[in-house]
Amino acid sequence: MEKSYISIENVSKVFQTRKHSIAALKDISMRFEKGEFVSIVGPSGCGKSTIIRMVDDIIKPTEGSITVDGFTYDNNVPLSSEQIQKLGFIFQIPNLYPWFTVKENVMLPLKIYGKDLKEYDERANSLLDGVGMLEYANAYPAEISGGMSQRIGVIRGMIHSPDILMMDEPYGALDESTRETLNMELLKIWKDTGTTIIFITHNVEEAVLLSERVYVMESHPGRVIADIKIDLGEERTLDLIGEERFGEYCTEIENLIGKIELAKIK
Amino acid sequence: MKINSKAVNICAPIIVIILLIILWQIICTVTNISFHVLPKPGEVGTALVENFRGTILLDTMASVKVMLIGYCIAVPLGFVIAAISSQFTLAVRSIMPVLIILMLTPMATLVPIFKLFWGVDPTLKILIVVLQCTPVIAVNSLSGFIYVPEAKKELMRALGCRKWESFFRVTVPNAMPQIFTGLKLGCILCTIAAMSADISVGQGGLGYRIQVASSLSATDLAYAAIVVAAILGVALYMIVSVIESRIVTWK
Ligand SMILES: Nc1ncnc2c1ncn2[C@@H]1O[C@H](COP(=O)(O)OP(=O)(O)O)[C@@H](O)[C@H]1O
Ligand SMILES: [Mg+2]
Repeated sequence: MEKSYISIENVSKVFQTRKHSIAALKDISMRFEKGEFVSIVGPSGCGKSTIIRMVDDIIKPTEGSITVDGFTYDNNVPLSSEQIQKLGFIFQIPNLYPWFTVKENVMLPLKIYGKDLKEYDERANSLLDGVGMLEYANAYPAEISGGMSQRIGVIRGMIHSPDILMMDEPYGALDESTRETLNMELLKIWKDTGTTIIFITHNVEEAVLLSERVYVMESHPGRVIADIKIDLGEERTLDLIGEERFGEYCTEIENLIGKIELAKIK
Repeated sequence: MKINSKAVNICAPIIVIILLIILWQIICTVTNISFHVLPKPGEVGTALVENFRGTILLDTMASVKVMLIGYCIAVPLGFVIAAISSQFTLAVRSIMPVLIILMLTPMATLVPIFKLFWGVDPTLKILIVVLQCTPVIAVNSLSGFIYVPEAKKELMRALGCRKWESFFRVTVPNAMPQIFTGLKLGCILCTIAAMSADISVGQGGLGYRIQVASSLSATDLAYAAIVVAAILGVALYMIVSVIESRIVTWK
């Protein structure tokens, strides 16, 4: 079978804790094409984070294989630096290092990849400016709010212009309007750069608004239950939210998730 | 009322110390306590000045040497012990209790045993200081090294950092506050160990002077030596605190 840009094939993940073994994912397969914007939605605990953490090589799958840009991960060996640098990861929490200033946190990936920091200074400043944080460049994380930290976490994930950007519910701590602004900014970056984006959210409307495709998952054990193409055209703006077809997509996905939840209660 | 915190931080303890000295003077005058038990502050001051060139300066230099050499060996040693054992769960479990026992053992009590092996050697004092300080530095650093939030380590893995790189980039800075707790406790134990080493080994040093002076009923000289020993301990502690405030700037 022809491999996609990113192929997750028959992957299972079992977490071993001291007392239990938790089957987080059972035999899931997903594919992502180069330049695609795909969201993953599903109830909390269905394994959304686990999937992208495996693609980012933070954890290894128990079974199955992951292939990115023609390279199949070895389940015993960490990715090479060259492979890692293709990936960008934005955590659910800001996850800033308190001992670095805002800007040093943003520059951290470049420092570790051995890049010449001076070359990226302008890019860092313009990203900071883009999220309204340029004046806080020299502040420490303890001196800024949770929402501000979250925005710094977002730009740290994209500072090195990764080919693939994975975002794990990145706007959790942000208010509605900041969220909308950042989403529009993200779409612009996506269009300009052709980055492949895997976006995790529990907000169905957000998923439909941004994505070309939405994976819907169920939990215990985590499985993919639907792969829905969102045909809302190239131009995605907040105006779409009022449209009938937009509402239909949201209802369809919410019903899928709702059904599982209902079945669980019964 | 608004209080300028920097000025308060410096002045408040000085005022308290002055008040304590005044209280000391009042107690001596009111109770008419014997000179041999508690000399007046002024008498201690006089003894300090009069004996400074004769004995105290030499004793101070001897003590400073023991304290500094011992401390400077204990710091990297404690750090390396903590760094290596933090990498192995079994080592953490087995070494931590041993370090705590060593930390609580008054090392000067081992002097009679050491003397049996090596006789009286001046380096014995340094050994006592090293043995007393290393465990407290190691225990505190180790407890800092093992409690690194999982998310902080995950970011390292996401950026492709391997074990030791991640240790120096995340584990060490994350543990800085605990490391400095250990270093500061080390200052206190260092002073205590140096004094008790002087007493049990002999051959000069402020601890030795305190013992000799009190056995000769030169209580004012004994107190003068105690004051200098306390100043040494405080000075070492303050140096480390200043270094801490330069390094841990993010708090
Ligand atoms: N490190 C871990 N140890 C044990 N269980 C884990 C760990 N990480 C995740 N899990 C479990 O795996 C399941 C999926 O987790 P996760 O991928 O975080 O879900 P989601 O992101 O969809 O909310 C959950 O049941 C969670 O409790
Ligand atoms: Mg999650």
